[in-house]
Amino acid sequence: MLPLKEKDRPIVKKLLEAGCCARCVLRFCCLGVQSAYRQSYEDTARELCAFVSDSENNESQDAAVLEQHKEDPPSKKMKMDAAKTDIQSEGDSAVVATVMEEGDAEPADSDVCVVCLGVLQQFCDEAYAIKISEVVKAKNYQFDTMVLSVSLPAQLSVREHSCWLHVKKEVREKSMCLDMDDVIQVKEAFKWTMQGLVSKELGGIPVVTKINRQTEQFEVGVGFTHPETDSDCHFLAGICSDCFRPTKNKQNVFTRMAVVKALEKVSDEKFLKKFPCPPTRPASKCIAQDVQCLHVSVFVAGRYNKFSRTLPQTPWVIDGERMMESSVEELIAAPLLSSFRAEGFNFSSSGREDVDVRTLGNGRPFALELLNPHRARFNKAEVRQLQETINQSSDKIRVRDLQIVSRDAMGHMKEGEEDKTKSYTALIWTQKAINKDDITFLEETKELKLAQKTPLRVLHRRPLAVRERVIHTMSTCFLDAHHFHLKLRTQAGTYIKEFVHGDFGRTKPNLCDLLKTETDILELDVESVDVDWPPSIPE
Amino acid sequence: MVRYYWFIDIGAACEDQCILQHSNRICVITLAETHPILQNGRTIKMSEKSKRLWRATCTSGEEYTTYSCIRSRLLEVNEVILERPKLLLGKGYIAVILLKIESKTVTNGLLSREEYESVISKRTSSTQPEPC
Repeated sequence: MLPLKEKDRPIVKKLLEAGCCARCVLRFCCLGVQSAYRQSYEDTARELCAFVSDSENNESQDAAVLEQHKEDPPSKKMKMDAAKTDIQSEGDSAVVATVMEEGDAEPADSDVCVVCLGVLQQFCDEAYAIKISEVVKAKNYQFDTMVLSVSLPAQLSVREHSCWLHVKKEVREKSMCLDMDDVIQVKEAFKWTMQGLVSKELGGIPVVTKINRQTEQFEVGVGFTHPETDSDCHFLAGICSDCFRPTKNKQNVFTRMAVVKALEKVSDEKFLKKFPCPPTRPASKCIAQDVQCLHVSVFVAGRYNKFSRTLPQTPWVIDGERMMESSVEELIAAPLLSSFRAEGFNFSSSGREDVDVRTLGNGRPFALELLNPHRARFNKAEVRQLQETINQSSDKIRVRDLQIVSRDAMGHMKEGEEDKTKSYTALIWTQKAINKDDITFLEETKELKLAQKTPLRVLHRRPLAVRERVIHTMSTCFLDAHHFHLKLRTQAGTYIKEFVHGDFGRTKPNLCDLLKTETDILELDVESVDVDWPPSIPE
Repeated sequence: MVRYYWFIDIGAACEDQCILQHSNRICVITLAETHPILQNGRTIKMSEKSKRLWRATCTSGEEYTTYSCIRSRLLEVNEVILERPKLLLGKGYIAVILLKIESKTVTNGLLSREEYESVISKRTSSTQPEPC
């Protein structure tokens, strides 16, 4: 039984006449009882008509009228699903009269609701819930809870506004109050019905409502479009032009948000001049777009070693042509993409090294965001197995401390970039012949301050600037008259190669200055990246 | 570890420039060793930079202007040589530029090291100074 009151009767009558569907009528009566919307559409419609006809009295008369109209073509008002019953909802002959007065010669208008455009009629039942859950099942996601989000065409707000103005007049005459905010939103009514139905089809998984901007694990998005009435919004641009700025991409300016904002600003007078009240009857119902599924990203962190001098960190592509085979990020991401059944990834790390530089020691921290993973839960043993798979796949890299982390992880990693220290070993060549004693002074040199102009080799993509950096300590290992190993511990962000060869004097001081000879760097290894994140995982 | 490709321009009056080009389209402009400024006995006084790069005055009174010979964007002018012009004799440079277009076509008018050396040898071997 619908909990409708005497005062609702005129509103119900007026809206039915205007072409509103049963559920929209309930919404305008501010009926906040969820179960009312969970009734089948047919039951709702029948009850509404009964409610209206009550004023005419006499249930038996209704029954007779029902019998009489059984063979007649379906009424314009409450057309049922043809597959179902053909009970005439018009128990109220008075209402039928008003409908027919225009002349029935024209073919029956569709009975698509003038406000919800069919969303609460044809897309708010078990059949559609089955369609939604079939898509979700087919995509094979792993999830504990689900959020159902629905996207409606912007013109629904315009039509809703129009219907509200339509009953506002009526309501004022009967001196009642009807606040726009009390009207139940189409989205709410839709979710009240569909959340339960979809949950049932998916075996009882909770389908919850998103609270503010909290991100739930898994979101299923349904959307509707109605091209026939898209132009309903256009008149607003004339009245309220500042709400509709043309976007750069020339996308549709009539977004839901913009339309709602404009409706708040426009006066009733202006609105009624430009838009029919009640709204025109649509010829067709909404088109349901493909169901979209999105799982929240999963973040995997670890540390990597790079043992090759011919492997870039990220893919090296020039003009569409791959310059070097594979990359650190691809070697790490490949097995993870397939196990998590993710659709893409974003790789980031605490600094990076050149193609020809090895990363030794404990390795460099990295974090990988896996996008739209179809599987997100892995226990510690499974993660260890994933690490093993990566390590088996190539001898050019090695991964350790692999673990699933939260989104905040990315912040921790970038923290390290400017503050922390790194240590290196470089193989130095000198033009001038040297002996052991010539280089020992370097071991005494502490906290050497450098001024480094942006190196020429990165000047094409970095702005010209001078960076102050510090070399904390150095030690040497003499090899022969023209070679020695130089170990350094430096501030993060120090360009080692440029310190060695001087980069046309753009790094000062440099090793050429210090040794008073031309020098060059033949090999470089990163020995340690001194960031204490991610937490180490004992093997 | 940085790879440079040498292209040398023979300008008017033997004002040869040397352009060192990196694979990332960055070029460093210096003077070739045959440039009059770098010849023995001349000390250099740098003055005034303008659109056309540098104007250098030698103590012997001659004035030389180095022009940028390739279409490019000027990124950096080496201010250090204003104070220490002798650097031009060694590792100094005049300016750093970023090539605007595909490097292959731009460097068509320039010479490789071998071509440059063959031109130089022709200059010195001829009895009369050739108009450059």
